[in-house]
Amino acid sequence: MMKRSPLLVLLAVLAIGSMLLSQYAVSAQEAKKDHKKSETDAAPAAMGQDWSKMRDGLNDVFSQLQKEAGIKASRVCDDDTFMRRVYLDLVGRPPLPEEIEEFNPGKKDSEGRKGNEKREALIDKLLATPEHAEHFADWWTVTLIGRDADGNSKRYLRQYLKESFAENKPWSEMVFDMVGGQGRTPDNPEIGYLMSFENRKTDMAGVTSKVFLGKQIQCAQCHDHPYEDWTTDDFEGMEAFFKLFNTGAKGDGADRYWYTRDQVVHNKHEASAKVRLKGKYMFPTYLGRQTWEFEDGDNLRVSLAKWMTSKDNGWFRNMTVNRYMAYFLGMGFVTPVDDFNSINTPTFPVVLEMMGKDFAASGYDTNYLIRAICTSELYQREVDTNRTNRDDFKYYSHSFVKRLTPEQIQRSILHVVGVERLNKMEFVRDAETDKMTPDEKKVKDTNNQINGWKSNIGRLMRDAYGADPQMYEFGNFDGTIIQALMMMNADLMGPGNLKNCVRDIMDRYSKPADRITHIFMTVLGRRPSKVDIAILNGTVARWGGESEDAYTDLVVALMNTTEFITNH
Amino acid sequence: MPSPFSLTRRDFLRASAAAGGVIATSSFFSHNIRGEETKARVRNSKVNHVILLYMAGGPSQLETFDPRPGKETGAPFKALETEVPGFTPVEHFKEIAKCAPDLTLIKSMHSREGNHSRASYLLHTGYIPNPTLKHPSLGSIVAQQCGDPSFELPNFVKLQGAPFPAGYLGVENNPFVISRPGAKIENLDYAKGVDQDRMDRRMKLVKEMEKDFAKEHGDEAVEAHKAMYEKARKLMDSPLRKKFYLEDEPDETRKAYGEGSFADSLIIARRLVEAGVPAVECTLGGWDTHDDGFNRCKNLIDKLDKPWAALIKDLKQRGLYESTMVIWMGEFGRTPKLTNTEGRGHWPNNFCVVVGGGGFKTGQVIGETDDLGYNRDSKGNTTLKDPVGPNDLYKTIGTMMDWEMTKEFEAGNRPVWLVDKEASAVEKLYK
Repeated sequence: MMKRSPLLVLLAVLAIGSMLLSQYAVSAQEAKKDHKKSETDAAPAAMGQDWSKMRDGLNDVFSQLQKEAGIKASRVCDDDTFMRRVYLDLVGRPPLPEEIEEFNPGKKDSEGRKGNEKREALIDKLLATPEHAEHFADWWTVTLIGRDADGNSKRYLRQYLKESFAENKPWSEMVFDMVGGQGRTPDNPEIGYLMSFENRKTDMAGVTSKVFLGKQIQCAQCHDHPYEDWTTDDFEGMEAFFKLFNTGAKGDGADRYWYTRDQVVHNKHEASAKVRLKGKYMFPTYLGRQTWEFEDGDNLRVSLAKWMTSKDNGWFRNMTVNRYMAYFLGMGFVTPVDDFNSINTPTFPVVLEMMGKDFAASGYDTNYLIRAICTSELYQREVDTNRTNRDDFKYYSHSFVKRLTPEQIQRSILHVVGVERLNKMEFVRDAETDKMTPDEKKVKDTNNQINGWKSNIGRLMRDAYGADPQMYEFGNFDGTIIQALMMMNADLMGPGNLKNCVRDIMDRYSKPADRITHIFMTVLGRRPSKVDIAILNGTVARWGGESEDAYTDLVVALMNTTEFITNH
Repeated sequence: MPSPFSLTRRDFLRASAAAGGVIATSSFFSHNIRGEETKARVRNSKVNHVILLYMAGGPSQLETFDPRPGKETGAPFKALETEVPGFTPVEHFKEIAKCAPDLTLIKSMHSREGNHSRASYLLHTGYIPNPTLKHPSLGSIVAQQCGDPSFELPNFVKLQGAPFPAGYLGVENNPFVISRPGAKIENLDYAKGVDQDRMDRRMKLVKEMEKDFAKEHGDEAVEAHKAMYEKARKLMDSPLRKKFYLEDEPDETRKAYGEGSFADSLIIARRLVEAGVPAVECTLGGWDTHDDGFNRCKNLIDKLDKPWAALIKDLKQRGLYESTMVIWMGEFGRTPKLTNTEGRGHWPNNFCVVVGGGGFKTGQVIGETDDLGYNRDSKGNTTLKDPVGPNDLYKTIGTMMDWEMTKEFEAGNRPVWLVDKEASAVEKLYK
């Protein structure tokens, strides 16, 4: 087992004297001493006020832990690496050449900021973009309901998530809406989450427990869990919350809408659902055997949503923290990310617990969490390791190469063919005739083409990987033939379709060196190193000098590298 | 071959715990590294292929293989007598009726899953769905157990229908999806304006870039990437890729199989099996007959009967039937009681599966339903004879193909088995 308990380590760190850390440690101690004391009471008052305290806490705790383990951390990465990393994580694509120029890697940005301050400003900027809301909506839609869910549920859920991330709605409110939300589309797009289950109550219970609470109870749908406390009673207890609820659809064509219908309970026994296996009646029971209290007129789903997102629910906040840690750092405190159980405990339970409380105290502000994680040294380490940390898969002493998700790959491809630039093209209407001007027509045609590519890539990636978000876990880089064939041969990669990108660069830059640099930056989202430049120059020379074909081949080749489909 | 997850997080966590938090090896990613594969396991079975004919939507047993002509639950179809007692398909199965000695009909398949997606998962994997873990489907299991990872064709080809990923067996055992059988396969050829020379020069640059990336970021991702591209280019350049197409298939074969995309997919399935592909799945959808069931089933049988019978004959002629299982199934059956629109609801309580080839004992019928086609009498007592669960069928197939059924695979950090340990094989299917 571990040499020291994390608590002891934390107490040792106390001596170093980080204010927040001491709060973290003291509250952990108190929580341990007095089990009955509510967790919120134990949380210090200053929590949730300042994300940089969480960031400092992470830096201090892990530098101490690394020291104890005899590990020397990798260096903090340079601006180019950081920028590509944070763009892929927050907006799902690499940065554009003009964005790289604006950030001015290695030097001060246009506002005179540098170092951490500049990086923090970039994170703020990205969090405020519509692209971030879209990318996170994609990520969470797949995480919650997979890629195979019915198109309407996906569309509504994604819309809800996008709007919510755009306004940085507290995560607790979002989950409350998704699990407890009522109404009909299009006014209540949050019901997309439950719509996706097509009234399969066992899946509602299983998925809801897993994705939001990190508790995998599904095995208990037919037998008591082999090495967990969960029994079929626990499973049925959770499932019972969904028993008096249905989703349905009415109308045809454009008038078609989906709705939720709940039967409220006026009598305790209405809430019991027949247990299929043992023939007895089962009352709704919160996971962990916490009793559901009957109230007249109770909507069971709403009760469940309240319990899940309450300040006392440690599973909820810890699961969220763990998912964000895993998403950004390649590995959370618990792996697999949503499987907390008695033999799969967090690597650093006290740190997780404290981060969870801090996050809850911030009002479940996911941007608070993102800022703390992404500005920490943990996130900014180089992938390159040294002798002491080569084998570290625990202390975050170096970064991991992360494989991009199909959604990120899709965005990255569209990025290369110029989707952002095309989206920025302006519509010009002829004032007199109010007809589409040639420019507007061009924009519309291009948009249609983009949508065509988008669904084409989406379908191929879906064929290549299937619907399961879990295929993209840490450390698995295996790919499929379908993906490789698409990247090498899809029409999208043909010279005709990449000419936007290539011609645009050739029009804007006249020197071959600038053209090559901009092609590289467009595809890989960073400035080329000296080695990269040497390789590309040599290649173009070997190909008989510059030409549209040569540049097109550079673009395609770069898109077929490992780097293009990974985040490092 | 080893499981793609032969060294997983759980191993890592164990190793990590044992070594006081730091593991002594850097092989955490080694399950991805092709160089570490051990010798292929030699299976003790002569069955090397499976062709799954998947009837999406849930085919009615009463309109196919368990008819009740003249009864209140029956369709207005006659039943055909065949050489095999009890094997009495509806009259539209003219050709398949002649194949009765080469088939075994299971009338007593049953489950509890009456929802399309859950039941489809169950029949495809032998397990009920579980958001915690994704089980591999039949084709992926066969690909992983019987396939050679270096084979130039994909080890699992899926013709039409929704693809089913390989779950914990890893994406390399995912199906290679062909959505339009016989049509040009997407992205298998160079893009417009690109020839082999041009592709080669692109890939040469890729290789150069990769060297530098591997130096800075480790070679795990680069190795996996290389393996994926090598396999893809091997397929692009392989002479065997013509097996995906029908151009060089003689007219008489095409005539024997008949017309339509399902017929085409069965010819392609035979061509692929002949070329050495272990697993092929062909889908015929449209069986969710909530209304107008008689007409719709007849139309579907017209698309199915001739090609299926031709496939059996073809495989026999080429000496492949004994090494190739041909399995016909859908996700469930239909309610014996008819709706007032001549349709039927979902009915997982008893439905039909037909198997043949691959060393199955054929020319028999397993299981029986009651007079009206029900599995229970009016008092709720079971009347279904010799019930077979989907997991039992998987156990039988696994035993006959000698899958590694006692091996502990890993999904996340949980132990899993290819076949449900509670299942019992259907011994009547053994020769």
